[in-house]
Amino acid sequence: MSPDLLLLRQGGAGELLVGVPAGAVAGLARTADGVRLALAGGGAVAAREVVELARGVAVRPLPALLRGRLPAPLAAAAGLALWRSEPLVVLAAGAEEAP
Amino acid sequence: MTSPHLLVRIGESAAALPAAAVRRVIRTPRLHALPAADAALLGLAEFAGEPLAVLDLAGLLGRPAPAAAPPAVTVVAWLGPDDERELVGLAVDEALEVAALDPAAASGAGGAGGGEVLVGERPVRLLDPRRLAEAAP
Repeated sequence: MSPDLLLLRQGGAGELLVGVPAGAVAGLARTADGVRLALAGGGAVAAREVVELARGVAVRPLPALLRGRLPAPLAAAAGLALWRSEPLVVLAAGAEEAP
Repeated sequence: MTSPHLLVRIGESAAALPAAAVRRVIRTPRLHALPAADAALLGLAEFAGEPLAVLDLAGLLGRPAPAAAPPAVTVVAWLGPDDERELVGLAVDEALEVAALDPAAASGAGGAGGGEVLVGERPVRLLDPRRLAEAAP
């Protein structure tokens, strides 16, 4: 699985990188805290900033051990990937995040 | 029947993983923490060009999470059933040795932690990579 991903930097101490399948993005709006992506499935994802649109990123399935261990906003994660040697969590298309 | 196992130290106790499930033992890599994640999930790292989730083995076994710094050593291991195995990092305090152990000789509780065997005078908890993959948060 190598989808195009819109890479988002989420704020906070972890400065976590999150990928959203580009095909699942229905809209993008600026907010006081950063950006908010509307998803085709009806959900939304909030982030501090949009980093890049990365083409053909290899996504590995989320290890079973991580299910139930991710923070609530990432509970709908579908997999893990690397971008420029930095690991990131890839959300499922249509995932809804509650920031 | 004995098979080689990697013995690791977790705090004051020891555990053993089948050597066949171990891909490599490395110094714990730079971790990208996930704020508000389960305490056993130490973070994400890059390993051999792949994303790697690193978990605290003590936490997986229901022991207290590490205080400040993560454990110094990470065992990169395959967990889960043979046809669906997943590569994860298991952070431990120290890799001790490789020893031939007989799982059939283990005594005590089952589950992810398996039973215990004696290596010399040290009790060692035998870990089952397939069951460990199912350890509940």
